Amino acid sequence: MSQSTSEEIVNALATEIGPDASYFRAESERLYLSGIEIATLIGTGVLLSFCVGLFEGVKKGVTKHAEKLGEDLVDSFVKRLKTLLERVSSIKPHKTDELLHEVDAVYHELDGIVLSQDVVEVVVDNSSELYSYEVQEVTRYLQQVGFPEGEALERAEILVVLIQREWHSC
Amino acid sequence: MTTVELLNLASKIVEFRRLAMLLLAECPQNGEYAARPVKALDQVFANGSGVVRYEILGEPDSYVVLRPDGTRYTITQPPADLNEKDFFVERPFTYRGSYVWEKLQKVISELQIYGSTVNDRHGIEVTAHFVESLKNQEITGILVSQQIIAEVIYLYPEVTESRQIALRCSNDCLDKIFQAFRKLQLNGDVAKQEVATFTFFCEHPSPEKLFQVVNSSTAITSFLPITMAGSTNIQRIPINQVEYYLTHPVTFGVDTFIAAIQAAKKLRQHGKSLTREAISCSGVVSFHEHLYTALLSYRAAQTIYEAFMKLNQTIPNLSQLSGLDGNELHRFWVETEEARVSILSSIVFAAVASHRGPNISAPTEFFSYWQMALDGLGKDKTRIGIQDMVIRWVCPEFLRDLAISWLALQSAEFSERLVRRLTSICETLEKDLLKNALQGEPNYLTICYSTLANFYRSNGNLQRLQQFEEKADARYFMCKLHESSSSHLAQEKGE
Repeated sequence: MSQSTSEEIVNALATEIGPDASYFRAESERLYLSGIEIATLIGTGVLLSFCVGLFEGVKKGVTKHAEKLGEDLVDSFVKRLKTLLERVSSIKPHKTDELLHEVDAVYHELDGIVLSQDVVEVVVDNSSELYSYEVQEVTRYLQQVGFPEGEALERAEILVVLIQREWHSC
Repeated sequence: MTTVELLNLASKIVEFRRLAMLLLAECPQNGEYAARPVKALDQVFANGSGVVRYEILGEPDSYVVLRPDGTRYTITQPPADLNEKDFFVERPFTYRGSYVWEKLQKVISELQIYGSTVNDRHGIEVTAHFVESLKNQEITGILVSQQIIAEVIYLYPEVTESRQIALRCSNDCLDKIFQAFRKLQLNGDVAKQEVATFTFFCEHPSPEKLFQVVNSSTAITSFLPITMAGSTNIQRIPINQVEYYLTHPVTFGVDTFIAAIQAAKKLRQHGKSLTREAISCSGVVSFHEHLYTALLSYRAAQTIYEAFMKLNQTIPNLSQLSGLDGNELHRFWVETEEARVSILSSIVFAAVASHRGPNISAPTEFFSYWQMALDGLGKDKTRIGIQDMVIRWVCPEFLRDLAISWLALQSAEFSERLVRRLTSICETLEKDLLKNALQGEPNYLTICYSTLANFYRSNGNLQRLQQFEEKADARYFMCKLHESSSSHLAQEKGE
């Protein structure tokens, strides 16, 4: 059975995030009605934040996975994921060609991290200890990109469950 | 009636409902306006880029911008990088057309041959008469909504005395208003005010006091006393403007502001939850019905935000009192406005064929639209466009996935995941086949099977190819429909 790819998960996230697209635009761009570009970017950011939370959870010794992967490897994953997050933040949603090219590159690198054999076991682990770290990171990301503070936690919980479901659906 | 006649009747009823929904989503004039032909806009869409300056309701100086890369947006300032000479200008500011109404009348006359049972069951005459009266300005929807509310309040003579009774009464009013809107017997412009008001009543810590305010006020003559069956109840019908309660000396204060903000949030979340349900629907009819109800919730929330925007100008510390600052207020208003525009566009695409968007109610037109996009924009942008349809609430997820599968087939990129998804869609559509057919759903099942057959042809799996070719034959659909119908009738007789 094959693992879902980053692109497939981001597509599912984009559908879920779609109705919130207006939150993520700058004030001057409100009433900008093109949705998928923004939803794809935010979906990619959400997935990356989820992965940061996942490895932060592993790093803090919450699960059995820490020993298996080793601290150095986990540290390098977190660093790479944070760099990818910065890269996503710099993509302009108006430029569809650039967006497609950039997110493809991000998917490729993210798949390189999460689809390796050792990591897959961690990724499909939906234990409650990891869940809280994942929700925390996704909440932080949503607030950072403009999601209303009072509603971000609730939304993050839904998105984390969606990612876990997508990862288990294959 | 034969199966084919039943299918024809169902699709006519759906056509009737879509046209009526368009005319009653706000009011008939706005429905006509939303569906009006805009030559310059059509030209821009045909060219694939350009700017149109034209009127959007409530925003006389709007620009619709379609970039060569396919992105499009609406702004109120002309784009800085474009010259005035590049604009297409369309100013149908006084549009008085009746294109949608004429189409609706045509469908109604075609439905007459089915007799009074069909008419009564679907409330065709009632809706037609209501639309016509609104259109000719013989009545306003308020008279209808007041009648509905009067009938509810009459059942609660102690509405001013108990919180529980006031809550039950407000909830019942809400239910009846939503019901009348869905039954196409009340238009959105009026329904949104009532929904905003009674949701606010439900969120208020002392709704009975709001009813007391209504009854004790002698200054407002527009409040109608409730008269039923020859006797006059002392109750009055609440004025349907949240702003009235926000500024009334008896109810003015933090509790009232917070209740109104809470009501708007609840309505917004209700709208969002309905749109999520809509995109998960396995049929385009239920998809539009869900969106139509969501539209009312979003617009009711917008009404409350607009009341706050207006009051912000006269009450300087309103944001402190309500706990909602100006930025958040604007952000939520934008969310409701975008939802309104998106849902209305979706209904326009389905009710009135237009090349501004794909018509999901006609499968052939739907795929022609994407074939044109593929020819003009290429595979990657067409895929983005297809995915965008769900984000913009133009189509449910199952149709997006069908279109993505169709696209994958064109470019020989069909994956196992798509096969699984299509198989799951086929199972759902086949399970709901009778229900969907009787609701007037277009037949997407045959197209799903045909797509799978083409996939198996392309990978040389002859056994699967034969299996799906048989299912992709229209006779398979009719045969399955007949089977489901017979089994349904047998079950009904057994009961």
